[in-house]
Amino acid sequence: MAPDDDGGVEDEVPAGQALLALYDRALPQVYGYLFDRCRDVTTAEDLTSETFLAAAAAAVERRSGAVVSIPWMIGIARHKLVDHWRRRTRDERLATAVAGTTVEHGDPWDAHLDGVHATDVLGRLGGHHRAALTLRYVDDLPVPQVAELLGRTVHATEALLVRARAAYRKAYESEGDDV
Amino acid sequence: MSDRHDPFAALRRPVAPLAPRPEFAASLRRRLQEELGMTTSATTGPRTGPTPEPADRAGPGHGDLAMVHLRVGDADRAARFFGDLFGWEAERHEFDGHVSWYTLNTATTVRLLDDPGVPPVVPNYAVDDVAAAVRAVEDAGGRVAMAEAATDGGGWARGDDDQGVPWLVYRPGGHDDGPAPTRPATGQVGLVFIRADATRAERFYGPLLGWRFHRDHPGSQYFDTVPLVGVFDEAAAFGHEVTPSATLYVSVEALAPVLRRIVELGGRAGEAAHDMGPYFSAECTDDQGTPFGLISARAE
Repeated sequence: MAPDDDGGVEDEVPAGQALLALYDRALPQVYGYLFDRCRDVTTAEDLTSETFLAAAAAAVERRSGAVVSIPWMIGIARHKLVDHWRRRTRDERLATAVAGTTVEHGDPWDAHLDGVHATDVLGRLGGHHRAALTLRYVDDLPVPQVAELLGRTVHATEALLVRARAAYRKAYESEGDDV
Repeated sequence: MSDRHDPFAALRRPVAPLAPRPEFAASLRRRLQEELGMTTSATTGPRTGPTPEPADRAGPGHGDLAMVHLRVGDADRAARFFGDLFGWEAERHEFDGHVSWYTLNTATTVRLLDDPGVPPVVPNYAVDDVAAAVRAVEDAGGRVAMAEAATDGGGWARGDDDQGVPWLVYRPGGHDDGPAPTRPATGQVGLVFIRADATRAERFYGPLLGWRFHRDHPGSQYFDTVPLVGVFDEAAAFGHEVTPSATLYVSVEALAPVLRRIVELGGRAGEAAHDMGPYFSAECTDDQGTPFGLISARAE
């Protein structure tokens, strides 16, 4: 039942046992991923719980422990994070705000972002802008994968990223002296 | 366009492991076990030297942190201070002319001990076989100061590693849990922070406790080992000589209110720092000068 070098568990182990065997190693990875991106203990704990419970359901359904690995868990966590931001976006009624955002095609911006300030600014954006920028830049995912996670077309995602970058730039520069 | 600097590249970062609150970790494990139709078997430590544990916590596995001894001047006074500060409920025992208080409502037990002959902080680790652990310590160049190892693998032993960092090992199981707590604690064992040569520590604790050292990135000198235990190679990080040691950090919801309360209770509250990854921390003392640390995800 020992986890293998890739953070997964051997094939013949039942799924439930595999998940529990991985729990101590996977928990700080999943929680660390979520906390770093939402910066809120309560939200990170809620999403971590949702991730592990969804993983339990999926693992049991598939029966084999072969599916259980830390990258697989991070993938589930990423979906939970997107769902969270989607809910937040609805709550904040950001659709109106988006319509008013000026789109800068190409949006050239020759700045060097300060790490701490850059993260703070990201945390203050609306849910869907934050989701798009986090998946594209923090997680370094290609646009098609961002599009899949957000449930949009690639074209719509590219447009969203342009608007998100513009909103980010405006927020970053309005803070003043770091750029 | 292709060779233009992209400022958003500064946002990229890999997944950095972060231990959640111990009580959350224990609670989620129980929920998972329920979901998966697996029952929890709580294992507990020996009452005679070491530990009571809350009955609702799955026991520590081999190599895990099972308890922390904190040396204090007057254990009764320390129990009042930490009881007020962290809401700790504890059970009083006397061994060999010294008073000990064992916390009842923390996920990892803290023993407040007024024996001046013991090190300031002694991390206790669970092992499957104490006699085998004693042999592993001796093979790795550590010191076994005292051991009561049973032929069936049970018992306990204590001593120092090959750099002088204290340890205690025992095999959990078979004792009375003590009275049930009446309230949750507001401070939990958050981290045992070991300052030591990381290469030597890996050579020592790897064979002894099965620890696997890993760090977030190649330049980091901080290594995660098992939950709640980290090794920081401060000498390698800052280039100055460091006396190997272990420090107890208590995790709290937010740092500032606890720092204020420490001052009200007559202790010393250190400056809040933001130097442990995403955590805020502070080095403090109780009203008797007992050093301990605070760690939190929130400053306020």
